[in-house]
Order: sequence, then structure tokens, then C-alpha cells
Amino acid sequence: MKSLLPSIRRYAGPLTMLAPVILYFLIFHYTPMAGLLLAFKDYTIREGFFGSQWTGLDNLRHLFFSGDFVHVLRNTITISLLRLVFGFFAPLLLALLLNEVRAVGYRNAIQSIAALPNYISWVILAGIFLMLLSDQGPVNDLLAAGGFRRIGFLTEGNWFIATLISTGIWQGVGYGAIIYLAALAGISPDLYEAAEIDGANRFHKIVHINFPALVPTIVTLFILNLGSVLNAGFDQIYNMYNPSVFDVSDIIDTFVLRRIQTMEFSLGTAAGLFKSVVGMILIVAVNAAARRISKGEQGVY
Amino acid sequence: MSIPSFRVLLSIRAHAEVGLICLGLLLAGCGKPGPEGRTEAAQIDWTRVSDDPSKTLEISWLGPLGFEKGRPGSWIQSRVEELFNVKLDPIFIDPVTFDKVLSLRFVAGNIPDVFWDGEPMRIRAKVRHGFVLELPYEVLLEHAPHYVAYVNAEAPETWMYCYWQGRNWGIPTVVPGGAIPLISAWRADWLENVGISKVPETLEEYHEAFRHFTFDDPDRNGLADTYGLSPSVAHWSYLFTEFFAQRDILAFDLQEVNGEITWGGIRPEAKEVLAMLRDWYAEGIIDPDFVLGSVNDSMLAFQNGKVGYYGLGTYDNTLNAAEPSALINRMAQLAPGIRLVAGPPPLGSDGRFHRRAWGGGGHVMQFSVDIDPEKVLRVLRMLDTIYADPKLALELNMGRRGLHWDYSSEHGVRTLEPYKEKRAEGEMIGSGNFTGPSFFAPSGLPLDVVDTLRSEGQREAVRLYSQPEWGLINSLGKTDVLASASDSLGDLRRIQEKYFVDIIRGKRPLSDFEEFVAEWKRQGGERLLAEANEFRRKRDEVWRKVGVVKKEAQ
Amino acid sequence: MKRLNLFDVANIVFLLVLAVTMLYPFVYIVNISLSTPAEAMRGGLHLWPGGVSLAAYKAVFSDSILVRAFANSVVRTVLGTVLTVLCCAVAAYPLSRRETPFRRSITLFILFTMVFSGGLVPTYLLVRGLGLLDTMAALILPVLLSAFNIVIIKNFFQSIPESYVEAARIDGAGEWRILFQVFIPLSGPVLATVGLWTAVMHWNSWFDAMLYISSDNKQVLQTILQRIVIDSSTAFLESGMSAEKAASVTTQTIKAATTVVTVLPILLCYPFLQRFFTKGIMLGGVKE
Repeated sequence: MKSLLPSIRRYAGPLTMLAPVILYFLIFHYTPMAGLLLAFKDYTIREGFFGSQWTGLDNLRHLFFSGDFVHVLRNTITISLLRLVFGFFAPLLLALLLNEVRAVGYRNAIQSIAALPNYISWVILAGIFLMLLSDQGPVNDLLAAGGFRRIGFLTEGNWFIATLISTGIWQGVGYGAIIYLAALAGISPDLYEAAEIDGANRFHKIVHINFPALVPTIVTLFILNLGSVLNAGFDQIYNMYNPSVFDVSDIIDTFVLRRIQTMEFSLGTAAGLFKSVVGMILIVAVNAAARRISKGEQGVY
Repeated sequence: MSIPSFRVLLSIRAHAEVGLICLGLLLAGCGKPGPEGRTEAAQIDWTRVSDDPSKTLEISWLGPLGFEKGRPGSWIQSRVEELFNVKLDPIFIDPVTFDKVLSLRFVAGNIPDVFWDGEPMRIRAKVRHGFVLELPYEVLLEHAPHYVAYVNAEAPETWMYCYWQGRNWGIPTVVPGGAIPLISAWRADWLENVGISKVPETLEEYHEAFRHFTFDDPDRNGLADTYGLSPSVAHWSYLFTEFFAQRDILAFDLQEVNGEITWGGIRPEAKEVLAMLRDWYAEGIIDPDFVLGSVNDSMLAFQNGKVGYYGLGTYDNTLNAAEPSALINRMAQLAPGIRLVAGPPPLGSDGRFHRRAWGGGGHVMQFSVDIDPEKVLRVLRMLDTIYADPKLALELNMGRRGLHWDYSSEHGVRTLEPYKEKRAEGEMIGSGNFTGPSFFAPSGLPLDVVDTLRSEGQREAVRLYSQPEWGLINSLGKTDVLASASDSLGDLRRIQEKYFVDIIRGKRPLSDFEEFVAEWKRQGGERLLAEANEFRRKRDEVWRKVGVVKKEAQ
Repeated sequence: MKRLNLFDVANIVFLLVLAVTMLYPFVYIVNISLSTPAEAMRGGLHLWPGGVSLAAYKAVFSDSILVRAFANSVVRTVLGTVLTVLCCAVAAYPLSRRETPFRRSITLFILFTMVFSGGLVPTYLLVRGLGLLDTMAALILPVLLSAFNIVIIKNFFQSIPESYVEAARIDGAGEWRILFQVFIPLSGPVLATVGLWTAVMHWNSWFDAMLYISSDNKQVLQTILQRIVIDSSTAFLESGMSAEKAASVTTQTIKAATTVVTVLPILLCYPFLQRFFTKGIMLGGVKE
């Protein structure tokens, strides 16, 4: 007992700080996890959470064997992978290009301007793009003036996907470049001088100095991106999609939202549960794989 | 930052689960109590319920869409409260929230005494969730006979919107104005410029007009930049409907043919219409950009002078010069000299005019399962009294004549001065729009009453261009009343749109129509039709119960 | 000055074009908002306003719901940011001290919430169960503490030399005093970064408000904007009431003006934001 008192006194401080924090996470994060049990029930408003009947795996079965969840899943993965393939390297390229600009003022100005869209919500951006890309809007006017046919950027399935990805890249490329630029800024000038002496031209320098310095950052960011492959960008898609492109752009999150609108709460929860579980497995698995590949040197640990 | 390893995660998960269960028990108080079961609500003995008129009842009321600017305490609200000795708590919701978020509000437990809805699928979902009161037909017949007769006469299909598993779950509302089809509008100046002296009436005349609009430079600007028409793809109910209707087809609806219910779009005549439209497209008289359209683009093409025909207007929003937001005035702002003229739909092959109409079927008012039964009787009495007396119905829709509005045969109905702003600020809900429902009187006025309120111009327009008798209506009112509609209807419509648009644009051969029919049936269409025919049988039973005298088949 | 070769010139031009594409959409929307409705309907690039008119802005500022929503957004952002920064710092501090018992477990407990969550429906039921529906608290509490922010601050705290702490202890300071008088003053850049991140998030949030707020006078700006500009409902079409109601389409200019008003605070604060973010990334973001 005697040795307990000083311990309590010493730990009281930090623990009183942490107690509300732990309580907060329990309430706001862990309790909703309990709510995931709704995926195994048939929730009705009248019966409430505890009164609703258990239906076991029925909801999951319904998801996968009837209705369009599988289709939605395919859309989600397609969009995410396309984003990854086309969008992952854009910030990297921009960073490399910016790095080559010697006038610091110009470089900072461009960098700042390019990063601007990242801070703007998709409600605003989508609203603007809806006007810009409509079939009577400026972009189509330019196309028509050039003799091309007008394109339904927002109403033709494949073009819509292209638009989603391009505007998504447009929004994130500037901000993403900052991370890479920070890493590039850390390269010691001696390396460049040594390369010059060895007769390297600009291209060689980029490939052999810049790029290797960025590899750790690239791997880290790639892992983070892969882990969230089931988040195909709800914010952007919800604000930009419309019924003519539902069949290509309906993703898991919009699926869940529509289940809420039709009051099929259990089904929506089941879809959400699937997404959370798969997402968690992905992050952990990809991370473990990255560690093994780089023998413990890279990875987000 | 570090992310934990899998093994550690598992052990955390284990701890978390224990914690969750404890917390779950803790939160038992937060959850809504009541294992009362779903549609097995407490049976009310209606013979024991009585409504004492001298008792003031408080009723919370979620009325129809379109009144989001409404405010409590309006003149109409006071009038209703005064007449029926009630205290009303109106709840106004904007359409987007209504569509997307209202169901969550119900989850929150704020269920109003009385609530409105227009979507059969949502109505069914609410019943399934167990918070809707069952309302037996006998109770309605006993306490609101005039109202029942009104519904039976105007739009008996609405009875099925609140039908579920053999029982009745609400009060149908009707909107007779919905039976009025849309009009065709033409650029009168273009017609003149290309030498057409009569507004097109037959299909051949329509075709001729479109050809001239495309090839004869009707706007005299020296450029070949105009087309005949730019149909809208924004909604399935818009898609080339007047041309399908000309062949007596509702392409995206259920139709009764030879005593059986089928789908308009799979009928062989639909293929003939597609063939014709396909030829028209190949000729170049249909604006190729029509396929890009979102909600307003068809109208914009007409407004901006790209096409000379618009098939989705109403007299008020297109041609009424006294209405500031009407197309005719907006177009005049862009360029003077623009003149519009209305026309009928293309003359049907049977010598009569046809056009798609939504029908008078409106929506449904439902009661919360927790409501005091006497409030239900009071509301029934309200509806019965209001709709037995057209003057009262009019007053509760528009306000008092001479005070809030006035009528002249030249201008029709006009809101009087101080109330114009008040209407905009939501203090005068219901006033001004007499063809639709009012917030507290949720059925619209009968068409003969509506007709007495039209101006000469409007009456003329209706007589010439949009008679209710021309309307082709879905034989069940809305396809959504069918149980499998929630699973397959959206997909079926999308498939159909894709096939039809592709065939018309020449991207698919006409022979793909058979492929479409097979696909449509496979993806749930077959099941839908089987349900439809079964449903018709149930409908006839309900009609027997409520006293509907069957109208001639569509 | 080294000679500029072809690559350099091409690079500079490319970057210039890029910057223009970043700015053009904003230029476009500002110009539409300042045009007359007829001009706004016309096609074209709208590189400058056509027929300059402030009518749209007048309409926006006289709309009480919009003005109210703007105020709500400001309150939410300020309140939410201040509280989040404070609480995350309070959470991060004990986790950064080696002697805190159960430190590793608690950190993992918090980190787990980054990979797994309950999802939309359960969270909604929770907010409703706590009685927070239709309150400002529903917009602030669920995002008050985030594992990400806590970890960032924690990492920074860990880099503060132990000597400071020892000095304070010798002076008899308790844990709270050490936090507020030593760590927080030294953490300016990190806290500012976290604060700015949070502020931007709060200002841009629309989905939570859409779900949880039912009274129009408590709604936030982005959600109202969403309703006006993007989300349209076909509810009217199918109700047979479409005829009269559909004619009242919000004009382009008002949509544009509302958009500009919503984005303006961010545009104005942007230079400020930029400076802190660049620093912040290097400080604690992607720690190796």
C-alpha cells in the first residue's frame, strides 16, 4: 500500500488527462462499431436496435446474390485503381518538374497556386465543374468551335470516369507535390556536384539522384493509397454524379447512402461492415508485404 | 506515425469486444424501447373511438412538398384551426432533404402525427418499419364518405399506393391537375420563315416542320446551326413520349392491352416508333447533342434558339405572357421578335390525340402508429368537410377571394398586393397554385372548379392543346406500387433508355429491339409483369370495398 | 545565370499553363456571379463579367437562411478548431511521456480507430441516442479527437528536450502546468498546422450537417450551397405538380454568387494557410 501512493500521485496527472480521451474514443468510435451488429439483424425503426430480429448472414447474402452490390463493388475498385494508375504519379512528376525550376520565386508561386484546389470542398468544385463541363459550357464550346463533337463529360459513362479522375488529379496534384518537394529539398547539393563532375546531364540526375531519394516517400504513400482502395472518393462522386452515370459511378459509399434513403438500414450497415473489414485487412496486409519486400527498411512502421 | 501489427490488432479487437458488450448494455437506455413487433400493431377498436368536436386537438403535420418556405401561423393555418378546433404544428421540408434525409429523421423518433409522401416504395418502407397506423377501409367510408367518393371519381388508382399485405395504411390524395398532359410549343417566327402557316398537328406535319427547321435556316442567320427538336433524356417520363403516345404507347409504363397488363416499351408498336425516330435521326433533324442532356437542357436548347420545338411545357411556364418566369418572357429578353405558339401532340393513328400524363393519382397521407385515434377521426372529418365544399377547398388552398386574390377572365387568378410578398416569405402557404395540393388540404381541386379559375387564354390553351381526355396514364398509376419495383425498376429503366437511345442514334441496329425485350424480361421485367397482373386483381378487390365504379379500360 | 535550354523553357511554359488551369475555374465562377442573368446564360469562356451586376450578391446577402448559414459555419469552424487543437494536445501529451502507464496499449487503442470504423448508420444512431441531433455539438464532437492529429502532436512533443521538463519539475510544476506552460508554447507550428487542417475541414464539411441538422436556421453554408447548386430532386416531377414548380430554377448567377461567398474565406486565408502547411508537412507529417 505504501508503494502505491507515490505511484498514484505520479500517474494521476497523465491518467486524468487520458481518461476523458479514452472515454471519448469508446463512445464515439467503439460504440458505433457495436452498431455494426445491425448488419446481422433486420432493423426496423419500431423495434429499435435491441428489438430488431437477428437474421444472421441474410443481409450479406442479399448483398452478394441479389441487387447490385457486386456491381457497385466493381465500380469502386475500378475507379480506385484507375485513380491510382493515373493519379499516383502526377504529383511526383510535378514535383520533379518544379524542382528543375531555378527561379525560386517562380517555383514557389506556381507551387502555391497549384496547391489551392486542395483546400476547396467538392461541393464548390463540383458546382463549378458542372457549369464548365455542361454541354453548353465553355469547354464544349471550345470543342465545337474546333470542329469536334460536343462531349457529355458528365453524362456519358466512360467520359464521366475520365472526368472524375482528371478533376481528382487536378485537385490533388499541387498539394501532393509538396510532400515530394520536401523530400527533394533534403538532397545534399554535393550529390549534384559529384554527378556533374561525372558528366551527368539533367535527365541522369533526375533518374539517379532525385528519384531514389523519393523512393521511401513513394512507397509510403503508395501503401496508404492502396489501403484505401475501397474509398473511391465519395465526396467528389456524390457531388458530381447523376442518374445517367449511376451504372459506372455508384460506389460502396453512395450505395450505403441510398440504402439509408430507402430505409434499408440493415443492408446499408452490412455494406459498410464489408467495407470496413476489407479495408482493415488491406492496410495491414499491404503494410506487412511492404515490410517483407524491403526487408524492414521501408513500410509505415 | 506507426500502424500496429496484425497480431496486436487482434488482441485489441478482443478487448474492444468485451468493452463493447458492456457499453451496449449501458446504452440500452438510449435505444428505442419496444418489442412491439412490426405490422402487428395494437388493434384499435374503431367503434369505441369518438371525436368530440368541442375538444381542441393538437396535431403535428408534415404536409406535401413544395411548401419549404412555409411558416407557422399562416392565414390558412389559422382558418383550419378555427374551423375544426385544432392546434396545428406544421413541419416544412425542402425537396432535397425530403428525398435524401427524411428517413433518418424518422429513425430519430420524431414521427409527426400526420405525414405525407408521394413515393409508393417509401410509403411501403415506412409501413414495414412499423410506425404507420393501419386505417381500415370501413373507418374511411364511415367518417369521410364525400372524400372517398372524390378519390374514387378522380384517381382510384391511388388507393393502391397505401395498400400493403391486404390492408390499408393511409389516406390517398388526388391531384386532378396531374391529369393534364404537357403541351407542344413551337417557334412561331420560324414556322413563318419556312412557310408553314398552320401549327403542326399530324405526324407528317411535325416531320415536315422539323425538316424545314433543320435545312431551311429558319433563324435567317446564314448558318446551318438549327435542328427540329432536342428531346430530353433527363427523366424516363420525358423520353420521346409524344411520339410513342401517338401510337398509343407509354414506353416506360404499364399498359393494359387486351385485358392484360404489359409494358409499353416491349410492345411491337414501340419498335415501329423507334424505327421512325431512327430514320429522323439519320436524316439529321434531331439535335445530336440531345443525349448529353441534364435536367434543363432540352428547354435550354429551345430557349437559345437551337431547336424550334419544345414538348415539355405547360401553358403557365411556357406561354403565359403574364407570368414573368415563363419561357416566352425569358426568350423575349434574349432577343426581341421571338414568338411562340402552342400546338397539340401529333395526331394518333386512331384519329385522336394522345399524350402521356401522370394522372390524378397523387400521394398519401399517413398517421403515426402512436397517434391518438380521435385525432384520426378529426382529420377524416376535416378532409370530408373540405372536399364536400369546393368553395371551402378553394379558400384553404388560395385564401379568401377579394382579400388575398382576385380573378378576372383576362388574367386569371392574381394574388393581391400585400400578400405577394407574404406568399414569398411563406406566410401565405397554399395560395396561388390552385391545381396542386395545399399544405393542409392535400388533395387538389376538381378540374371543373379549376376551370372556372382559368383565364381565357389558359382555358383556350387547355381546350386546344392539353385536354385531360388525351392523357395516357400508367394503368396502375405508378409502377412503383409493385413489390419487386424496388429491386429491379431502376435497372430496367436504365437498360431501356440505353437501348432506345442507342437504336435511335444508329449505334445499334433496329433488330436489337428483340434483344432488348429478352434482356428486359430477364432482368426482372417478367417478374414485374406477373406481379402487375396479380396486383390488378387485388386492386379490383380494394375498389369493390371502397365503392369505385370501374372506368373504361385504358 | 546559366543558359536556359529547351527543356527549361518548355517546363516554364507548362507550369504556367498548369497554374492557369488551377485558377481559371475560380475566375469563371466569379465572372458568372458578377454577370447579368442573360449574359450568364450565354456560352463562352467568361474571362470577364458580362454586363456587370451585383444583383446576385444582393440576393444572397438578403437571404436570411444563407446569412445565418454563413454565421453557423464560422461558429462551427472557430469552436471546432479551438477545441480540437486543445483536446488533441491534452491527449497527445501523456502519450508522449515515457512514464505514462499503459502508454503503448492506449496508443494502439486510439490508432485502431484509424483503420476500422462503425460506418454511417451506427454513427447516426449514436448521435441520435446521445440527443445531439440538430445541435452544433453533433458537428463538433464526432470529430473532436482524431488519431491522426494526436499522433502528429505526440511525435512533436517527443522531440522536445527532456531538460525542459526536468527544469519545470524542479520548479514543482504538475503535469497540467508542464503541458500548458512548456509544451504548448513550444509547439506553435505543429498546433497551428493541426489547427489549420481542422479549420479547413470544418469549413468544408457538408455531409455531417446534411445528416444531423434538420432546422434550416442551424444549417451550415456548404450544405445549403449543395442544395442550391448541386442536389436537385426529381421529387417534383413525379408528383404531378411539376408544371408550375419546375419553372422556378435557381438562376446561374445566384448559384455562382453563393459559391463565391462560400469559397472566399479560404481564398483570402490561403497565403497564410500555404506557409504553415509547407512547414507542417516537414515537421511531423510523414515521419520516417
